[in-house]
Amino acid sequence: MQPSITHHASEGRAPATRWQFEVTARDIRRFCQAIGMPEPLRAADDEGDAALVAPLLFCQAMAYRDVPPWALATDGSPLELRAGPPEARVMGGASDFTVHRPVRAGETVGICSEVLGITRKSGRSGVLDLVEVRTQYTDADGRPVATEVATYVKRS
Amino acid sequence: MHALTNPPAGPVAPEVDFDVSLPIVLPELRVMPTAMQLFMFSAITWNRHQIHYSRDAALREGHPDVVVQRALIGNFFARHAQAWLGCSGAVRRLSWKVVASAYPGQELDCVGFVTGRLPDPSAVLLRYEAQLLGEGGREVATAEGVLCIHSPS
Repeated sequence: MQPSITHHASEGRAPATRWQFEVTARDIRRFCQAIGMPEPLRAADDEGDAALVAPLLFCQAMAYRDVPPWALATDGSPLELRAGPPEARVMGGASDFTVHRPVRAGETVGICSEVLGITRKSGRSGVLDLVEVRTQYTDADGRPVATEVATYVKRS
Repeated sequence: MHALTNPPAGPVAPEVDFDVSLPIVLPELRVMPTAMQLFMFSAITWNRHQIHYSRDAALREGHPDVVVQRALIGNFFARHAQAWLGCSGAVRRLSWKVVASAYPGQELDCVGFVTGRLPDPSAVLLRYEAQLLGEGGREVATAEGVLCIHSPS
């Protein structure tokens, strides 16, 4: 059976959401522990906590907003995934992550997240909705730090 | 790019003649995620999706246990590539796709190659391809990326 694909670029889309995140040394240390890295890397041009360099994909720590629990779906899945059909099981599917430069402790990072589109696929395993979310991270001067396009799978 | 006082351990990639030595087999990275690790990763990323920390929620969705996060799997690939690069370079881009769910207590092997050099006159850019394999070679995720070798200073 050939899968059928339908693209719904405008359905269920909310405007891009922007917020800021102040990166602390504690965030970097905790992220390192969570990914199995013994300790953060340290830059040679500074001392103390200001020298801590975040791991490559650290921006993931800033990807979800601090909305209250009651704003989320009952399964707790991220707010961005309210796009598309309700009452579906959500799973992370894929990511495309571009790193422009590492993040350092003490930085304020700007985040802009938006749903790019929803693609419906029908195949042997049933109907899947692929929700594509782009999250852009910029520094205090607006220069790019990282960009992630994540694709989540919603299965009805 | 920051000079590091504690660069990650790994072979010194620029010693390789990339024009004649490709493909390069990277050292394998073995990980075994634990339920605590999944909890820590959900906490630091503020990912409150219950299938990653509530076994009951995971069971309700047909999983045998809590599910390893897509984003955490990406970090396994990032560690794998960066361990080979050491202080000689950085990962510029990493794409990964989860093709089967992974669960705590399972050994996962990250295996991969540098398969080619990308055309760029100003930098040494290498193509990275990898897989995350579970028990019996079951494919859990695939990845590809771009690694940049720093110029000697």
